Amino acid sequence: MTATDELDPTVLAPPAVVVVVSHDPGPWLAECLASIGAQDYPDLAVLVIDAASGEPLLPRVAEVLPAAFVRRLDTNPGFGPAANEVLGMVEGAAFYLFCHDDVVLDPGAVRALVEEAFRSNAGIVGPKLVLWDAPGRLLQVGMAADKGGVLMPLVERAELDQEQHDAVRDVFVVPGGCTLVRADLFETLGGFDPGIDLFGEDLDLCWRVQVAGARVVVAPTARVRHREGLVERVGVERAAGLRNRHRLRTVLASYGRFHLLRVVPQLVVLSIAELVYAVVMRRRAHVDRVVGSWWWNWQHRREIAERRRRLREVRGFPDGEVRKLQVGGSARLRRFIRGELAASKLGEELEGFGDELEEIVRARPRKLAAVAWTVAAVLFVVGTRELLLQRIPAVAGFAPFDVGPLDLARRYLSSWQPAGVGSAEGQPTAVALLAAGGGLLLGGMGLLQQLLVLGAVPAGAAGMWRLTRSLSSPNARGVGLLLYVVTPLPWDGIGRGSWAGLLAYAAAPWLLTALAEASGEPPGDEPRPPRPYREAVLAFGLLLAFVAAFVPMLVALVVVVALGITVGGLVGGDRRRPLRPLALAVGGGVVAAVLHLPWAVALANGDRWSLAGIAAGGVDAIPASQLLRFGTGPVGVSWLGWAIPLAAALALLIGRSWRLRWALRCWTIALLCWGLAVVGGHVDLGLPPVEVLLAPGAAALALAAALGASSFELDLRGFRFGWRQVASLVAAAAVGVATLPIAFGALDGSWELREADHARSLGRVGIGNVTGSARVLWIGDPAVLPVAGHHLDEGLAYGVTTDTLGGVLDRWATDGGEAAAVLARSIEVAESGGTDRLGSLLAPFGIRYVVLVERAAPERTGAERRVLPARLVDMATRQLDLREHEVEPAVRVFENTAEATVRTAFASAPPAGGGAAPAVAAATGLADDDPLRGALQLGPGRGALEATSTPGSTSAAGPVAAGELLLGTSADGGWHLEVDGEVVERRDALGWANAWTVPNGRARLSYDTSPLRLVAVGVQVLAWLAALFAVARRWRRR
Amino acid sequence: MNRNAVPALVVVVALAGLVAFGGTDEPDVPTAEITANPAADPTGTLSSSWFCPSAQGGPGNDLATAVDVANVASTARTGTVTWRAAADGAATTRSFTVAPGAVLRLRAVDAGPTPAASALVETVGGGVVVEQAVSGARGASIAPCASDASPDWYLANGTTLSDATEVLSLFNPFPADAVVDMELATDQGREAPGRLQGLVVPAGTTKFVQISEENVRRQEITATAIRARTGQLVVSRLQSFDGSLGRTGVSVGLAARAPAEVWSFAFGVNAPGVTTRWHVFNPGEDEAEVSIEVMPYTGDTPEPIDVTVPARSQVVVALPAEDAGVAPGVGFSSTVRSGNGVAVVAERSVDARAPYDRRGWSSSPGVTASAGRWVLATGAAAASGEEWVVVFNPGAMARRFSVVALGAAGSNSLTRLQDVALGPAAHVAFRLLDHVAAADAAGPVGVGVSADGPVVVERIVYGTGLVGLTAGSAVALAPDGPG
Repeated sequence: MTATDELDPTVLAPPAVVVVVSHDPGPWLAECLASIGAQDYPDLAVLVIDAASGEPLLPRVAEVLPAAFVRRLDTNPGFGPAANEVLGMVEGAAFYLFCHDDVVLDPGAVRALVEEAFRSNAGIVGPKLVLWDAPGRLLQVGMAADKGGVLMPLVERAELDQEQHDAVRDVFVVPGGCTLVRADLFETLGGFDPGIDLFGEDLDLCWRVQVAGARVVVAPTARVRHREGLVERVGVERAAGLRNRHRLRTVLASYGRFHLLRVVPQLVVLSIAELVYAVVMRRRAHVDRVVGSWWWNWQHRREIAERRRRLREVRGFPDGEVRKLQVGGSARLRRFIRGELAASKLGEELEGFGDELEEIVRARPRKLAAVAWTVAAVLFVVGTRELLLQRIPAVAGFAPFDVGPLDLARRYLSSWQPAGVGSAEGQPTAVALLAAGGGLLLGGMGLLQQLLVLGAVPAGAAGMWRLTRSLSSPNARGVGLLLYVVTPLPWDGIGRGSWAGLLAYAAAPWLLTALAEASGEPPGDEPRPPRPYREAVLAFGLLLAFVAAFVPMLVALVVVVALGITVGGLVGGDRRRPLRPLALAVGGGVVAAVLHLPWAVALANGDRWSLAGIAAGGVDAIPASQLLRFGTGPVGVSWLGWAIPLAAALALLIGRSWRLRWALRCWTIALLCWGLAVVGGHVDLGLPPVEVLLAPGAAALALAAALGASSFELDLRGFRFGWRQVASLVAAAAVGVATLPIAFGALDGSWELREADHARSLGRVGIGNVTGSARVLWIGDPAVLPVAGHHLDEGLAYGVTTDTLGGVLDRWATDGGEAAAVLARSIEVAESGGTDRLGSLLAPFGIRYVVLVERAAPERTGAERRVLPARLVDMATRQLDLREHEVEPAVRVFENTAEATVRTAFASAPPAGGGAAPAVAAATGLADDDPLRGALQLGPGRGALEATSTPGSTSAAGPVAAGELLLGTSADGGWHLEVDGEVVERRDALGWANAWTVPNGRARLSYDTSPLRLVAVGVQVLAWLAALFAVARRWRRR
Repeated sequence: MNRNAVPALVVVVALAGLVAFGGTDEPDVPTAEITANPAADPTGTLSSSWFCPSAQGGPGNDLATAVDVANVASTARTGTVTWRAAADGAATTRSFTVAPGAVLRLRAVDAGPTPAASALVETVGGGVVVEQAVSGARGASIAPCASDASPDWYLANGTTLSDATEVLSLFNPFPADAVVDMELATDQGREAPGRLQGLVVPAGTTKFVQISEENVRRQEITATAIRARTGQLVVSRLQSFDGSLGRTGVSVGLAARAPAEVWSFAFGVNAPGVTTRWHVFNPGEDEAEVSIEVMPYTGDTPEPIDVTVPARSQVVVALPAEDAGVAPGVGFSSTVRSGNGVAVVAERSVDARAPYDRRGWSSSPGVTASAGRWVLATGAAAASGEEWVVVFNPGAMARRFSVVALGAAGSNSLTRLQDVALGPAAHVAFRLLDHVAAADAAGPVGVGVSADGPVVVERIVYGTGLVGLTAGSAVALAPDGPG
């Protein structure tokens, strides 16, 4: 034979048969057949199997390819079984080329395939598959598979074809579509597996071919366009299900016993892991797919056994050799990780790991960020799904927004603050903000509450995204975002009813952003000059003022954060303007204080519990090991939470330049926050709750994690594989691990915040149903009280509400002056055993119920229990004028049997009461004019003056009999009483209350707001508007 | 060193420091301290309450009841006594004023036709002690009222033999009902009669429980534990004996609010016809190893008597008639001490009959803590009834004490009982009649004892020539706090 002979196809061409299996094909069939007809292969026959198409295909085939044979089947058995028809119909063929009806072959494709079959002595040869609509982009060039039969593409889908994959190579699978098979081998193997109708017949045939000892190669010079219409026709879900079960069938049928014993347990473990994942992610179809594949194969176990027996007969290669042709590890797990977490090819060989990781991260710059946002959204929606569309339960700090915007505005204009025992210090600025918010939402106070409570989580996430905006890598930003979202703080905050904690979580990254920019070296690749100080201070102060309206202590906390930035920067070697963040924090605090005038004056004069705002005063003594995981409630107890600081440590270990300096700053902030939380739990320093303290620390650590990812991208270049890459891998894994507790917590749907609150159970005994003028005294741990508390002792607090269970306005503690002091002293005297008549002491305050709170919600909800001191319970139970009502274990409710209304008439005048200092009273006996002694000697009441409007109203009217009228609120000259139109002179009573000596007649009680208050409010509104305008204008200019 | 190593190391050290400082210790939950004995509130207290459950003598044994209010404060005390009818809690309230150092007697009959009524005495300010005195055909008895209510009460002594009538008074002075369970420890084991489970004591009422009518076999030994499921109450016991088995007399006594590890009794006498018994009740779930130490007023101290008290059981130990370690005619103090930390309740009963020249029966709990000031609100310093007071120093340091008598007109310092020395483990006993002028002894006579350190005070009141014996501890006066 000469060289010329070799090139002459008419001389040596072995007969080949193209087998096209078709079922109800689209218009592409003609193009497919035409491309076959255009092949330059000299000895090519065409057999079209019409798999029971609705319209017989013969006319369509004859029109394009008159020489083709057409065999019509009565039913559609699927691709493999239909293709097997060739075994009974064709004799003498050397090759079969099995084609889908949606492929178009290049003119020389068959020839190239046959040539390669000879050249490589291959059993199966596959072409280079390219996209139907874009032949310049690759679809498949053969595929690899792991031991579980999971396929791994060897090229990126839609990868530009630049002939980079045009080398002939061995592959494990030639994907269906166009497959050249040696005819004798095909007959020996019995054709395609008749048990596999669609999807998976390619893997099965290729696997058996290799077991038989033949090669499977891909010949990229043969190019075939593939439309992949089958998935379209079958549907994605069904296609995935069929692939799964047929893959398992192939594995079970192709391995020998020994390898089966080794591989099947691994597959079982992987399937269980996959199931768990699918359950967690609520992917029902995925669950069905995994379970269904095992069940289907169990049902077909006899067929599988038979096929294994038949394969044994033709086996030419041991399983060990076949395994060498497969890829190591689990392609499925690798694909999962790459697809779901974008953490890269974890299963790759260690060699070159770092480079590959970088390449993948760089190749998909936005994928991780998208995943992070998706995870954040999923966690939020799934985790809070039961709270999004219903009323937020009135648990702990989640007081109902029970006052409309107009009432809020009216109250804000008044000097009188009815919360607690009343005071004339005016309302917090937040009342005006809530009124404005309610007005903007057209009175939708429920929606406003949803926004201010649940909206804190997305606001925090957005803030974290903003904080990392200077990082050039979306991956790093994604890591930061993800870590901030999977911090247990917000979720525990929801579960525990910590509104203040949620607001702090929302605000922390925004505040940190401003402070970071002020440092002159914001965390990012391109240093940007800080904003002019005045401009920055105004913007920062405005933001701080808004947050401080709810949590005033944040003003002090941002100074601590600024201190952390300064100290961390100095430690890191940055000595450029180190005090600038501190100056911004202090300046912002001053701006916030000015914007909060006149409330800021009241805060300055009040006790430190007033500074807590809506926060429950006092820091919980949570073990430091839990604080370091940012766990403050049920979600954060998992030890997997250690992954958070672990993930944030990477930048410290591998970071350089500004990344290391900022990592140091972040860790300094976190350490300061943790330190405050730990110390505050042991020493009463008047700090805000632990959720508030930890929020800036969580934001800082999330930023540190983002810096770690950034360091991985920027600082590992040039390093060979070593501990830095291992640390990166650990940090990446830690981010994933940190997600798990939150993911599991999200399944609950409400982060353990149950719908039930105390409203119903307490309503049964009258609390919340009273329309008169009685008060409720709440005592317990501040974290579970539905009202802002004042310090009592040993971690206890007390608070007072009027008529109600506590509304949003009761969340701000007020300094009730002497009245509050006398009330606290009354409780303390009873607690120390000084009286068995606490009810009589509370009666002048109008306190009709005393509620000892042990849980923020009913016991059945599983709300955290804050055990009440036994001496407190004992005190209440041994009072001769308190009657206990059986309500439920989470609260002990005692009704005051002494006359108790806010505006009580008495026969005899209550003493004016100078009030002996408690220490003097205890040591020497009570003075005659001691308010407590006066309360004991008041005698029975003679009715009350009823309020004329809503609870907390400052007006009342009604008939009075000649005698004394006692108003059980803080003594204040603004109270005004008229009887039958005649003004009656007010006087102080009991050292803290108001009293009038009244004649018979009709009385009208009101409170006169000072005009100065209206002026002050007007000035304050102008100040806010001016600040907003200035900031908005500069923002637009930028 | 790698440039990253130092900061990383600093962070690790800081974290370790936080964990070490933050610890994992759980916060302590404060518990309420419950004392077994009544105690007078300090004079500086805002208000003071005393609870005197009605003493029901049982069939054929009507008793006259009075409460005596002693004021040891330096200023007058105003207050009210509310007599609560046992059956329905109907209240009759009377106001009163007690001069400083005076004793005021409030009789139940003065409040109206309330045949069985419990008394609630309330005063503005402290320094007040209230005791209850009962008398009837079978004798007379005195016992302190309760200064506090409690959900738990314990009586270490009881008997259901044919000569005895034992009635428990369960007084609920509160505005909510109380529900109680009662359990008896007898020499036949534990008993919890069905009728005594879930027993409702309505608000303001007094429930009487006659133990012998509760299907408890006639037994010499019974101890009772009363536990409230809800609410609090006050429990006292009245025992009376018809003489058919040799015992005679009436004894009213307040139950103990809590078990304790040490119980002290200042009084005791080893004389023919006098039988002293210690009744030790262990209401807990662990066995108690108890020693009874007898300390004679003169002579050597005998070996302690060791007994084991099984869980939820009662043991009675009598002073051995022979080989008691106490010479005949000599008085003694005693201490019941749990050696293994299991708290018990201890009472001491005194059964006096012929040939002893006084007759009567008394049973009362000891005191669980010594104090510097003691008050006996009532007593007898007349020919018809004489009172002995014993001051016992259980400590290792010498003490000095002074005594004042409290009468209707005010207090009188007893001149021969001022700044009296009292050595370690020593006793001083004096007969009140020997120190109080006859003119001052017309009405009830109280006694105030002030010492410069902790002592224990007990009194014995005899009905001279009559049936009746009361041996019981005085009431400690809580000191005013520092503020």
